Amino acid sequence: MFSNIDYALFFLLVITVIVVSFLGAKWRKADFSKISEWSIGGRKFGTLIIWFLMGGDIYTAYSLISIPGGSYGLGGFILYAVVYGTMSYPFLYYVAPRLYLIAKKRGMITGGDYVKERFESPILALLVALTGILAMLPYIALQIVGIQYVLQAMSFPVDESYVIAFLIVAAFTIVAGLRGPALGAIIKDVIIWSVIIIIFVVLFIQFNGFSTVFAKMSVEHLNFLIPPKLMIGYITLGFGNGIAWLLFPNLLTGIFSSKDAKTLKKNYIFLPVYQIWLLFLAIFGLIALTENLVPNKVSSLAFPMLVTAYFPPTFVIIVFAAIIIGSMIPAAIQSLSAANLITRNIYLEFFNKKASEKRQVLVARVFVFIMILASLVFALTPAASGLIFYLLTMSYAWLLQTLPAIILSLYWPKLDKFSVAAGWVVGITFTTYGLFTVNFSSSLLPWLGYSYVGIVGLALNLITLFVVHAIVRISNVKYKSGIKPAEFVDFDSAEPGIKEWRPDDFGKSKEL
Amino acid sequence: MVAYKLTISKRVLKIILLLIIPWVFVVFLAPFYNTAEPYFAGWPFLYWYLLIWIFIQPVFTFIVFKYIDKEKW
Repeated sequence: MFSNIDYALFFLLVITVIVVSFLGAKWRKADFSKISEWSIGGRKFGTLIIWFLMGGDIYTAYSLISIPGGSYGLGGFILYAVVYGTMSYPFLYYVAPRLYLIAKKRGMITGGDYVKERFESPILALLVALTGILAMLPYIALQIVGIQYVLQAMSFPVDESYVIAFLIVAAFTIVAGLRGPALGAIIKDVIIWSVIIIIFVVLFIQFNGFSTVFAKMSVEHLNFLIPPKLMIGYITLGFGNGIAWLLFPNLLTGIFSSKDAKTLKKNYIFLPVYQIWLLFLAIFGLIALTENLVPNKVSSLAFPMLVTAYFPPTFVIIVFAAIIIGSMIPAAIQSLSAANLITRNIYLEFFNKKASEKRQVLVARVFVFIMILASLVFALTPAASGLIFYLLTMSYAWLLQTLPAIILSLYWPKLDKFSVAAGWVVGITFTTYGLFTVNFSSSLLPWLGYSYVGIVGLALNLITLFVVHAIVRISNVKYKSGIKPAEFVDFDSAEPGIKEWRPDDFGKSKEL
Repeated sequence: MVAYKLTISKRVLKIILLLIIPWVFVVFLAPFYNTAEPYFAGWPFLYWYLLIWIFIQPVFTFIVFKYIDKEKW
Protein backbone atom coordinates (compact mmCIF):
# COMPACT_ATOMS: atom_id res chain seq x y z
CA MET A 1 0.00 0.00 0.00
CA PHE A 2 2.85 2.41 0.79
CA SER A 3 5.62 3.20 -1.69
CA ASN A 4 9.29 3.51 -0.81
CA ILE A 5 9.00 7.27 -0.97
CA ASP A 6 6.20 7.14 1.62
CA TYR A 7 8.40 5.11 3.93
CA ALA A 8 11.27 7.54 3.39
CA LEU A 9 8.96 10.39 4.37
CA PHE A 10 7.88 8.49 7.48
CA PHE A 11 11.44 7.91 8.64
CA LEU A 12 12.41 11.48 7.83
CA LEU A 13 9.71 12.85 10.18
CA VAL A 14 10.37 10.41 13.00
CA ILE A 15 14.14 10.77 12.80
CA THR A 16 13.90 14.57 12.75
CA VAL A 17 12.03 14.51 16.05
CA ILE A 18 14.57 12.08 17.53
CA VAL A 19 17.58 14.13 16.42
CA VAL A 20 16.04 17.36 17.70
CA SER A 21 15.29 15.69 21.03
CA PHE A 22 18.92 14.59 21.37
CA LEU A 23 20.07 18.11 20.49
CA GLY A 24 18.12 19.33 23.53
CA ALA A 25 21.23 18.44 25.55
CA LYS A 26 23.14 21.28 23.87
CA TRP A 27 20.35 23.80 24.26
CA ARG A 28 20.61 26.86 26.52
CA LYS A 29 23.85 26.07 28.33
CA ALA A 30 22.79 22.86 30.01
CA ASP A 31 24.84 22.01 33.10
CA PHE A 32 23.87 18.46 33.94
CA SER A 33 25.74 18.34 37.24
CA LYS A 34 22.62 20.08 38.64
CA ILE A 35 19.48 17.98 39.07
CA SER A 36 17.12 20.85 38.24
CA GLU A 37 18.95 21.50 34.95
CA TRP A 38 18.41 17.93 33.82
CA SER A 39 14.98 17.16 35.27
CA ILE A 40 13.09 20.42 34.73
CA GLY A 41 15.26 22.18 32.17
CA GLY A 42 16.68 24.60 34.74
CA ARG A 43 13.32 26.35 35.31
CA LYS A 44 13.77 28.69 32.39
CA PHE A 45 11.24 27.74 29.72
CA GLY A 46 9.31 30.67 28.28
CA THR A 47 5.69 30.95 27.15
CA LEU A 48 6.05 29.31 23.74
CA ILE A 49 8.13 26.32 24.92
CA ILE A 50 5.74 25.69 27.81
CA TRP A 51 2.82 25.84 25.39
CA PHE A 52 4.34 23.17 23.17
CA LEU A 53 5.64 21.12 26.10
CA MET A 54 2.35 21.02 28.01
CA GLY A 55 0.34 20.53 24.83
CA GLY A 56 2.73 17.79 23.79
CA ASP A 57 2.26 16.14 27.13
CA ILE A 58 -1.53 16.39 27.43
CA TYR A 59 -2.57 15.64 23.86
CA THR A 60 -0.95 12.32 23.01
CA ALA A 61 -1.20 9.44 20.55
CA TYR A 62 -3.61 7.98 23.07
CA SER A 63 -6.01 10.91 22.50
CA LEU A 64 -5.71 10.47 18.72
CA ILE A 65 -6.78 6.84 19.09
CA SER A 66 -9.12 6.83 22.11
CA ILE A 67 -11.28 9.92 21.46
CA PRO A 68 -12.49 8.84 17.98
CA GLY A 69 -12.74 5.31 19.40
CA GLY A 70 -14.85 6.64 22.25
CA SER A 71 -17.32 8.56 20.11
CA TYR A 72 -17.47 5.62 17.70
CA GLY A 73 -18.45 3.31 20.55
CA LEU A 74 -20.38 5.50 22.99
CA GLY A 75 -21.47 8.64 21.11
CA GLY A 76 -21.47 11.92 23.01
CA PHE A 77 -20.23 10.44 26.27
CA ILE A 78 -16.59 10.90 25.24
CA LEU A 79 -17.15 14.68 25.20
CA TYR A 80 -16.35 14.57 28.92
CA ALA A 81 -12.75 14.77 27.70
CA VAL A 82 -13.49 18.15 26.10
CA VAL A 83 -15.29 19.25 29.26
CA TYR A 84 -12.51 18.50 31.71
CA GLY A 85 -9.96 20.30 29.61
CA THR A 86 -12.12 23.43 29.43
CA MET A 87 -12.48 23.37 33.19
CA SER A 88 -8.88 22.38 33.99
CA TYR A 89 -7.09 25.41 32.58
CA PRO A 90 -8.86 28.08 34.66
CA PHE A 91 -8.48 25.79 37.70
CA LEU A 92 -4.75 25.56 37.03
CA TYR A 93 -4.62 29.34 36.61
CA TYR A 94 -5.94 29.60 40.15
CA VAL A 95 -3.85 26.94 41.91
CA ALA A 96 -0.68 26.29 39.86
CA PRO A 97 1.14 29.64 40.40
CA ARG A 98 0.95 29.11 44.17
CA LEU A 99 2.55 25.66 44.00
CA TYR A 100 5.01 26.77 41.32
CA LEU A 101 6.27 29.76 43.36
CA ILE A 102 6.85 27.79 46.55
CA ALA A 103 8.63 25.09 44.52
CA LYS A 104 10.84 27.69 42.87
CA LYS A 105 11.69 29.33 46.16
CA ARG A 106 12.59 26.05 47.87
CA GLY A 107 14.17 24.33 44.86
CA MET A 108 11.54 21.58 44.69
CA ILE A 109 11.53 19.26 41.68
CA THR A 110 8.52 16.99 42.37
CA GLY A 111 5.12 17.06 44.06
CA GLY A 112 6.63 14.74 46.69
CA ASP A 113 9.28 17.38 47.49
CA TYR A 114 6.50 19.85 48.25
CA VAL A 115 4.52 17.41 50.43
CA LYS A 116 7.67 16.51 52.36
CA GLU A 117 8.41 20.14 53.27
CA ARG A 118 4.83 21.26 53.79
CA PHE A 119 4.02 18.46 56.25
CA GLU A 120 7.60 17.74 57.34
CA SER A 121 6.78 14.13 56.59
CA PRO A 122 8.89 11.96 54.26
CA ILE A 123 6.35 9.17 54.70
CA LEU A 124 3.46 11.24 53.36
CA ALA A 125 5.76 12.31 50.51
CA LEU A 126 6.47 8.65 49.85
CA LEU A 127 2.73 7.85 49.61
CA VAL A 128 2.23 10.69 47.12
CA ALA A 129 5.31 9.66 45.13
CA LEU A 130 4.27 6.00 44.96
CA THR A 131 0.80 6.99 43.77
CA GLY A 132 2.43 9.07 41.01
CA ILE A 133 4.93 6.40 39.95
CA LEU A 134 2.22 3.76 39.83
CA ALA A 135 0.11 6.03 37.63
CA MET A 136 2.94 6.69 35.16
CA LEU A 137 3.76 3.03 34.52
CA PRO A 138 0.52 1.98 32.77
CA TYR A 139 0.38 5.41 31.11
CA ILE A 140 3.73 4.82 29.38
CA ALA A 141 2.75 1.25 28.52
CA LEU A 142 -0.42 2.63 26.95
CA GLN A 143 1.58 4.94 24.69
CA ILE A 144 3.49 1.86 23.53
CA VAL A 145 0.42 -0.30 22.87
CA GLY A 146 -1.34 2.67 21.22
CA ILE A 147 0.91 2.49 18.16
CA GLN A 148 0.31 -1.20 17.54
CA TYR A 149 -2.16 -0.86 14.68
CA VAL A 150 -0.07 1.78 12.94
CA LEU A 151 2.97 -0.51 13.00
CA GLN A 152 0.93 -3.41 11.63
CA ALA A 153 -0.51 -1.26 8.86
CA MET A 154 3.01 -0.32 7.77
CA SER A 155 3.97 -4.02 7.99
CA PHE A 156 6.65 -3.43 10.60
CA PRO A 157 7.35 -6.22 13.09
CA VAL A 158 5.35 -4.96 16.08
CA ASP A 159 7.30 -6.15 19.11
CA GLU A 160 10.71 -5.30 17.67
CA SER A 161 9.47 -1.82 16.69
CA TYR A 162 8.15 -1.20 20.22
CA VAL A 163 11.54 -2.05 21.67
CA ILE A 164 13.52 0.06 19.19
CA ALA A 165 11.21 3.09 19.40
CA PHE A 166 11.11 3.21 23.17
CA LEU A 167 14.77 2.49 23.73
CA ILE A 168 15.36 5.57 21.58
CA VAL A 169 12.94 7.47 23.85
CA ALA A 170 14.92 6.31 26.88
CA ALA A 171 18.18 7.32 25.17
CA PHE A 172 17.26 10.92 24.36
CA THR A 173 15.59 11.42 27.74
CA ILE A 174 18.69 10.14 29.53
CA VAL A 175 20.99 12.32 27.44
CA ALA A 176 19.02 15.56 27.34
CA GLY A 177 16.65 15.43 30.33
CA LEU A 178 13.47 17.52 29.98
CA ARG A 179 15.10 19.66 27.29
CA GLY A 180 14.86 16.65 24.94
CA PRO A 181 11.08 16.16 24.91
CA ALA A 182 10.59 19.95 25.20
CA LEU A 183 12.31 20.52 21.86
CA GLY A 184 10.85 17.36 20.35
CA ALA A 185 7.37 18.50 21.40
CA ILE A 186 7.64 21.55 19.16
CA ILE A 187 8.02 19.41 16.04
CA LYS A 188 5.52 16.85 17.30
CA ASP A 189 2.83 19.48 17.81
CA VAL A 190 3.50 21.25 14.53
CA ILE A 191 3.02 17.93 12.73
CA ILE A 192 -0.11 16.92 14.67
CA TRP A 193 -1.68 20.40 14.38
CA SER A 194 -1.16 20.34 10.59
CA VAL A 195 -2.50 16.80 10.28
CA ILE A 196 -5.64 17.48 12.32
CA ILE A 197 -6.40 20.75 10.55
CA ILE A 198 -5.96 19.18 7.11
CA ILE A 199 -8.19 16.22 8.00
CA PHE A 200 -10.76 18.59 9.49
CA VAL A 201 -10.87 20.89 6.47
CA VAL A 202 -11.08 18.05 3.93
CA LEU A 203 -13.81 16.19 5.82
CA PHE A 204 -15.62 19.44 6.65
CA ILE A 205 -16.00 20.10 2.93
CA GLN A 206 -16.76 16.46 2.11
CA PHE A 207 -19.56 16.21 4.68
CA ASN A 208 -21.02 19.66 4.14
CA GLY A 209 -19.81 21.11 7.45
CA PHE A 210 -20.53 17.74 9.14
CA SER A 211 -24.27 18.44 8.87
CA THR A 212 -24.72 15.30 6.76
CA VAL A 213 -22.99 13.21 9.47
CA PHE A 214 -25.35 14.38 12.21
CA ALA A 215 -28.37 14.17 9.87
CA LYS A 216 -27.53 10.58 8.97
CA MET A 217 -27.09 9.72 12.64
CA SER A 218 -30.58 11.02 13.53
CA VAL A 219 -32.15 9.12 10.65
CA GLU A 220 -30.47 5.88 11.70
CA HIS A 221 -31.25 6.54 15.39
CA LEU A 222 -27.59 6.51 16.34
CA ASN A 223 -26.79 8.38 19.50
CA PHE A 224 -24.53 11.41 19.26
CA LEU A 225 -25.75 12.79 22.61
CA ILE A 226 -24.70 11.78 26.13
CA PRO A 227 -26.73 8.67 27.11
CA PRO A 228 -29.00 9.86 30.01
CA LYS A 229 -28.10 6.72 31.96
CA LEU A 230 -24.46 7.87 32.02
CA MET A 231 -25.15 11.53 32.87
CA ILE A 232 -23.85 11.30 36.45
CA GLY A 233 -20.82 9.45 35.13
CA TYR A 234 -20.20 12.19 32.59
CA ILE A 235 -20.40 14.95 35.19
CA THR A 236 -18.31 13.19 37.83
CA LEU A 237 -15.65 12.08 35.33
CA GLY A 238 -15.45 15.57 33.85
CA PHE A 239 -15.23 17.21 37.27
CA GLY A 240 -12.90 14.60 38.75
CA ASN A 241 -10.40 14.87 35.91
CA GLY A 242 -10.85 18.63 35.78
CA ILE A 243 -9.41 19.10 39.26
CA ALA A 244 -6.76 16.39 38.95
CA TRP A 245 -4.26 17.82 36.48
CA LEU A 246 -1.99 19.36 39.11
CA LEU A 247 -1.66 15.89 40.64
CA PHE A 248 -0.20 14.27 37.51
CA PRO A 249 3.59 14.01 37.93
CA ASN A 250 4.18 14.53 34.19
CA LEU A 251 2.15 17.75 34.14
CA LEU A 252 3.79 18.98 37.32
CA THR A 253 7.18 18.49 35.67
CA GLY A 254 6.03 20.78 32.86
CA ILE A 255 4.67 23.35 35.32
CA PHE A 256 7.88 23.42 37.39
CA SER A 257 10.00 23.95 34.25
CA SER A 258 8.37 27.35 33.59
CA LYS A 259 10.53 30.46 34.09
CA ASP A 260 7.92 32.31 36.14
CA ALA A 261 4.29 32.13 37.24
CA LYS A 262 3.20 34.67 34.64
CA THR A 263 4.38 32.31 31.90
CA LEU A 264 2.02 29.69 33.31
CA LYS A 265 -0.87 32.13 33.50
CA LYS A 266 -0.41 33.16 29.86
CA ASN A 267 -0.44 29.51 28.91
CA TYR A 268 -3.73 28.87 30.66
CA ILE A 269 -5.20 31.50 28.36
CA PHE A 270 -3.71 29.97 25.20
CA LEU A 271 -3.45 26.23 25.91
CA PRO A 272 -7.25 25.69 25.69
CA VAL A 273 -6.97 26.12 21.91
CA TYR A 274 -5.68 22.53 21.88
CA GLN A 275 -9.14 21.47 23.03
CA ILE A 276 -10.55 21.84 19.53
CA TRP A 277 -8.51 18.75 18.60
CA LEU A 278 -10.59 16.72 20.99
CA LEU A 279 -13.90 17.97 19.63
CA PHE A 280 -12.77 17.40 16.04
CA LEU A 281 -11.50 13.93 16.92
CA ALA A 282 -14.86 13.07 18.50
CA ILE A 283 -16.60 14.08 15.26
CA PHE A 284 -14.10 11.99 13.26
CA GLY A 285 -15.20 8.97 15.30
CA LEU A 286 -18.85 9.66 14.41
CA ILE A 287 -17.92 9.72 10.71
CA ALA A 288 -16.21 6.34 11.06
CA LEU A 289 -19.47 5.09 12.57
CA THR A 290 -21.93 6.49 10.01
CA GLU A 291 -19.76 5.52 7.03
CA ASN A 292 -19.17 2.07 8.50
CA LEU A 293 -15.41 2.22 8.07
CA VAL A 294 -14.30 0.03 10.95
CA PRO A 295 -13.95 -3.74 10.50
CA ASN A 296 -15.26 -5.94 13.36
CA LYS A 297 -16.27 -2.82 15.33
CA VAL A 298 -12.83 -2.48 16.93
CA SER A 299 -13.25 1.08 18.18
CA SER A 300 -9.53 1.81 18.49
CA LEU A 301 -9.26 1.52 14.69
CA ALA A 302 -11.76 4.35 14.06
CA PHE A 303 -9.14 7.06 13.48
CA PRO A 304 -6.59 5.13 11.36
CA MET A 305 -9.41 3.62 9.25
CA LEU A 306 -11.01 7.01 8.67
CA VAL A 307 -7.73 8.50 7.47
CA THR A 308 -7.01 5.49 5.26
CA ALA A 309 -10.48 5.74 3.69
CA TYR A 310 -10.32 9.40 2.68
CA PHE A 311 -6.66 10.23 2.09
CA PRO A 312 -3.84 9.13 -0.25
CA PRO A 313 -1.12 6.83 1.18
CA THR A 314 1.46 9.63 1.34
CA PHE A 315 -0.76 11.61 3.72
CA VAL A 316 -1.75 8.50 5.66
CA ILE A 317 1.89 7.76 6.41
CA ILE A 318 2.39 11.32 7.72
CA VAL A 319 -0.55 10.72 10.07
CA PHE A 320 1.02 7.45 11.16
CA ALA A 321 4.31 9.25 11.81
CA ALA A 322 2.33 11.78 13.88
CA ILE A 323 0.82 8.96 15.97
CA ILE A 324 4.25 7.37 16.58
CA ILE A 325 5.83 10.72 17.50
CA GLY A 326 2.76 11.51 19.59
CA SER A 327 3.48 8.42 21.67
CA MET A 328 7.23 8.93 22.02
CA ILE A 329 7.35 12.51 23.36
CA PRO A 330 4.75 12.00 26.13
CA ALA A 331 6.41 8.70 27.12
CA ALA A 332 9.67 10.62 27.54
CA ILE A 333 8.09 13.20 29.87
CA GLN A 334 6.20 10.53 31.82
CA SER A 335 9.25 8.33 32.40
CA LEU A 336 11.29 11.38 33.38
CA SER A 337 8.73 12.55 35.93
CA ALA A 338 8.48 9.08 37.47
CA ALA A 339 12.28 8.90 37.63
CA ASN A 340 12.32 12.28 39.40
CA LEU A 341 9.91 10.97 42.04
CA ILE A 342 11.97 7.81 42.58
CA THR A 343 15.20 9.79 42.85
CA ARG A 344 14.00 12.60 45.08
CA ASN A 345 11.40 11.00 47.30
CA ILE A 346 12.65 7.42 47.59
CA TYR A 347 16.39 7.23 46.82
CA LEU A 348 17.45 10.58 48.30
CA GLU A 349 15.09 10.28 51.26
CA PHE A 350 15.45 6.67 52.31
CA PHE A 351 18.65 5.30 50.76
CA ASN A 352 21.22 8.03 50.47
CA LYS A 353 20.41 11.28 52.24
CA LYS A 354 23.75 12.81 51.30
CA ALA A 355 23.58 12.08 47.57
CA SER A 356 25.21 14.88 45.60
CA GLU A 357 23.28 16.53 42.76
CA LYS A 358 25.52 14.78 40.26
CA ARG A 359 24.65 11.48 41.86
CA GLN A 360 20.92 12.32 41.73
CA VAL A 361 21.14 13.02 38.00
CA LEU A 362 22.82 9.64 37.52
CA VAL A 363 20.16 7.82 39.55
CA ALA A 364 17.35 9.60 37.71
CA ARG A 365 18.90 8.63 34.37
CA VAL A 366 19.08 4.98 35.42
CA PHE A 367 15.43 5.07 36.49
CA VAL A 368 14.27 6.59 33.19
CA PHE A 369 15.72 3.48 31.58
CA ILE A 370 14.10 1.19 34.17
CA MET A 371 10.68 2.87 33.77
CA ILE A 372 10.78 2.46 29.99
CA LEU A 373 11.97 -1.12 30.33
CA ALA A 374 9.23 -1.96 32.83
CA SER A 375 6.60 -0.39 30.57
CA LEU A 376 7.91 -2.41 27.61
CA VAL A 377 7.62 -5.61 29.63
CA PHE A 378 4.04 -4.59 30.47
CA ALA A 379 3.21 -3.90 26.85
CA LEU A 380 4.87 -7.03 25.46
CA THR A 381 3.59 -9.66 27.90
CA PRO A 382 0.11 -10.70 26.75
CA ALA A 383 -1.01 -11.43 30.31
CA ALA A 384 0.20 -8.02 31.45
CA SER A 385 -1.13 -6.00 28.52
CA GLY A 386 -4.68 -6.73 29.64
CA LEU A 387 -3.64 -5.50 33.06
CA ILE A 388 -2.58 -2.11 31.66
CA PHE A 389 -6.15 -0.93 31.28
CA TYR A 390 -7.03 -2.10 34.78
CA LEU A 391 -4.06 -0.29 36.20
CA LEU A 392 -4.89 2.81 34.21
CA THR A 393 -8.46 3.16 35.45
CA MET A 394 -7.17 2.47 38.95
CA SER A 395 -4.26 4.88 38.84
CA TYR A 396 -6.32 7.88 37.70
CA ALA A 397 -8.75 7.36 40.55
CA TRP A 398 -5.81 6.86 42.90
CA LEU A 399 -4.06 10.07 41.82
CA LEU A 400 -7.18 12.05 42.73
CA GLN A 401 -6.71 10.89 46.34
CA THR A 402 -3.54 13.01 46.60
CA LEU A 403 -5.58 16.21 46.12
CA PRO A 404 -5.68 17.13 49.84
CA ALA A 405 -1.89 16.65 50.16
CA ILE A 406 -0.99 18.78 47.15
CA ILE A 407 -3.84 21.28 46.58
CA LEU A 408 -5.81 21.64 49.83
CA SER A 409 -2.56 22.11 51.78
CA LEU A 410 -1.74 25.21 49.70
CA TYR A 411 -4.75 27.05 51.14
CA TRP A 412 -5.22 25.52 54.57
CA PRO A 413 -2.23 26.27 56.81
CA LYS A 414 -3.55 24.23 59.74
CA LEU A 415 -4.01 21.05 57.71
CA ASP A 416 -2.05 18.26 59.43
CA LYS A 417 -0.31 15.16 58.08
CA PHE A 418 -2.36 12.66 60.10
CA SER A 419 -5.70 13.63 58.59
CA VAL A 420 -4.24 13.79 55.05
CA ALA A 421 -2.70 10.32 55.46
CA ALA A 422 -5.94 8.90 56.92
CA GLY A 423 -7.95 10.40 54.05
CA TRP A 424 -5.51 8.97 51.54
CA VAL A 425 -5.84 5.47 53.02
CA VAL A 426 -9.65 5.63 52.98
CA GLY A 427 -9.73 7.07 49.45
CA ILE A 428 -7.33 4.48 48.04
CA THR A 429 -9.10 1.63 49.83
CA PHE A 430 -12.52 2.68 48.57
CA THR A 431 -11.46 3.24 44.96
CA THR A 432 -9.67 -0.11 44.87
CA TYR A 433 -12.70 -1.85 46.40
CA GLY A 434 -15.07 -0.03 44.04
CA LEU A 435 -13.07 -1.11 41.00
CA PHE A 436 -13.07 -4.70 42.26
CA THR A 437 -16.88 -4.65 42.33
CA VAL A 438 -16.92 -3.91 38.60
CA ASN A 439 -13.95 -6.19 37.86
CA PHE A 440 -11.89 -3.18 36.76
CA SER A 441 -13.96 -3.04 33.56
CA SER A 442 -14.79 0.65 33.94
CA SER A 443 -14.23 3.51 36.37
CA LEU A 444 -17.98 4.11 36.74
CA LEU A 445 -19.93 2.34 39.48
CA PRO A 446 -23.30 0.97 38.25
CA TRP A 447 -24.47 0.53 41.86
CA LEU A 448 -24.00 4.25 42.53
CA GLY A 449 -25.80 5.68 39.50
CA TYR A 450 -22.71 5.18 37.32
CA SER A 451 -20.70 7.74 39.28
CA TYR A 452 -16.92 8.00 38.88
CA VAL A 453 -15.17 5.92 41.52
CA GLY A 454 -12.41 8.53 41.99
CA ILE A 455 -14.87 11.28 42.98
CA VAL A 456 -16.73 9.06 45.43
CA GLY A 457 -13.34 8.07 46.87
CA LEU A 458 -12.36 11.72 47.16
CA ALA A 459 -15.60 12.54 48.98
CA LEU A 460 -14.93 9.78 51.55
CA ASN A 461 -11.29 10.90 51.68
CA LEU A 462 -12.36 14.46 52.59
CA ILE A 463 -14.92 13.32 55.17
CA THR A 464 -12.24 11.21 56.88
CA LEU A 465 -9.84 14.14 56.68
CA PHE A 466 -12.25 16.52 58.43
CA VAL A 467 -13.08 14.00 61.17
CA VAL A 468 -9.45 13.09 61.89
CA HIS A 469 -8.44 16.75 61.75
CA ALA A 470 -11.08 17.60 64.37
CA ILE A 471 -9.75 14.82 66.60
CA VAL A 472 -6.16 16.00 66.12
CA ARG A 473 -7.10 19.56 67.05
CA ILE A 474 -9.22 18.59 70.06
CA SER A 475 -6.59 16.24 71.48
CA ASN A 476 -3.82 18.79 70.87
CA VAL A 477 -1.58 16.45 68.91
CA LYS A 478 1.54 18.31 67.79
CA TYR A 479 2.30 18.65 64.10
CA LYS A 480 4.44 20.98 62.05
CA SER A 481 4.51 22.67 58.70
CA GLY A 482 7.84 23.39 57.05
CA ILE A 483 6.31 26.29 55.14
CA LYS A 484 4.96 29.43 56.81
CA PRO A 485 1.52 30.58 55.60
CA ALA A 486 3.01 33.92 54.48
CA GLU A 487 5.37 32.12 52.13
CA PHE A 488 2.51 31.06 49.89
CA VAL A 489 2.04 33.69 47.21
CA ASP A 490 0.16 33.88 43.91
CA PHE A 491 2.36 36.43 42.17
CA ASP A 492 5.90 36.50 40.85
CA SER A 493 6.77 39.79 42.45
CA ALA A 494 6.24 40.62 46.08
CA GLU A 495 4.72 43.97 45.23
CA PRO A 496 2.55 45.00 42.30
CA GLY A 497 4.45 46.71 39.56
CA ILE A 498 7.71 44.87 40.11
CA LYS A 499 8.37 42.89 37.00
CA GLU A 500 11.13 40.50 38.00
CA TRP A 501 10.88 37.88 40.69
CA ARG A 502 13.66 38.63 43.16
CA PRO A 503 14.99 35.82 45.34
CA ASP A 504 15.75 38.49 47.98
CA ASP A 505 12.05 39.05 48.54
CA PHE A 506 11.90 35.70 50.30
CA GLY A 507 15.48 35.22 51.35
CA LYS A 508 17.87 33.37 49.04
CA SER A 509 16.23 30.47 47.29
CA LYS A 510 17.54 27.28 48.78
CA GLU A 511 19.39 24.94 46.42
CA LEU A 512 18.74 21.37 47.42
CA MET B 1 8.27 40.90 53.21
CA VAL B 2 4.93 42.07 51.86
CA ALA B 3 3.26 39.68 49.50
CA TYR B 4 1.03 41.04 46.77
CA LYS B 5 -2.46 40.28 48.07
CA LEU B 6 -5.82 40.73 46.41
CA THR B 7 -8.72 42.33 48.22
CA ILE B 8 -11.50 39.97 49.30
CA SER B 9 -13.92 41.19 46.63
CA LYS B 10 -11.35 40.72 43.88
CA ARG B 11 -10.55 37.27 45.16
CA VAL B 12 -14.25 36.32 45.10
CA LEU B 13 -14.56 37.65 41.55
CA LYS B 14 -11.51 35.62 40.56
CA ILE B 15 -13.04 32.46 42.03
CA ILE B 16 -16.29 33.12 40.18
CA LEU B 17 -14.58 33.67 36.83
CA LEU B 18 -12.07 30.82 37.06
CA LEU B 19 -13.88 28.16 39.06
CA ILE B 20 -17.63 28.69 39.46
CA ILE B 21 -18.45 29.69 35.88
CA PRO B 22 -16.69 26.79 34.10
CA TRP B 23 -17.84 24.28 36.72
CA VAL B 24 -21.48 25.32 36.36
CA PHE B 25 -21.76 26.06 32.65
CA VAL B 26 -19.48 23.37 31.27
CA VAL B 27 -19.81 20.56 33.81
CA PHE B 28 -22.90 20.70 36.01
CA LEU B 29 -25.37 22.01 33.42
CA ALA B 30 -24.66 18.95 31.26
CA PRO B 31 -28.22 17.54 31.55
CA PHE B 32 -29.51 20.85 30.07
CA TYR B 33 -27.04 21.27 27.22
CA ASN B 34 -27.29 17.59 26.23
CA THR B 35 -29.80 18.22 23.44
CA ALA B 36 -29.76 18.16 19.65
CA GLU B 37 -32.00 21.23 19.24
CA PRO B 38 -31.39 23.96 18.26
CA TYR B 39 -29.10 22.97 15.43
CA PHE B 40 -26.56 25.47 14.16
CA ALA B 41 -25.13 24.91 10.68
CA GLY B 42 -26.15 21.28 11.00
CA TRP B 43 -24.34 20.83 14.33
CA PRO B 44 -26.43 19.63 17.32
CA PHE B 45 -26.55 22.04 20.28
CA LEU B 46 -24.34 19.78 22.44
CA TYR B 47 -21.47 20.05 19.97
CA TRP B 48 -21.51 23.74 19.17
CA TYR B 49 -22.15 24.65 22.81
CA LEU B 50 -18.98 22.85 23.90
CA LEU B 51 -17.09 24.29 20.91
CA ILE B 52 -17.90 27.90 21.81
CA TRP B 53 -17.01 27.28 25.47
CA ILE B 54 -13.51 26.32 24.37
CA PHE B 55 -13.22 29.98 23.34
CA ILE B 56 -15.43 31.71 25.95
CA GLN B 57 -13.55 30.49 29.02
CA PRO B 58 -10.12 31.83 27.92
CA VAL B 59 -11.77 35.27 27.62
CA PHE B 60 -12.77 35.11 31.30
CA THR B 61 -9.29 33.87 32.17
CA PHE B 62 -7.80 36.78 30.24
CA ILE B 63 -10.04 39.24 32.12
CA VAL B 64 -8.64 37.87 35.39
CA PHE B 65 -5.08 38.13 34.04
CA LYS B 66 -5.45 41.71 32.84
CA TYR B 67 -7.91 43.38 35.23
CA ILE B 68 -7.75 41.46 38.51
CA ASP B 69 -4.18 40.18 38.66
CA LYS B 70 -3.09 43.26 36.67
CA GLU B 71 -0.29 41.30 35.02
CA LYS B 72 1.60 43.05 32.24
CA TRP B 73 1.66 41.05 29.02
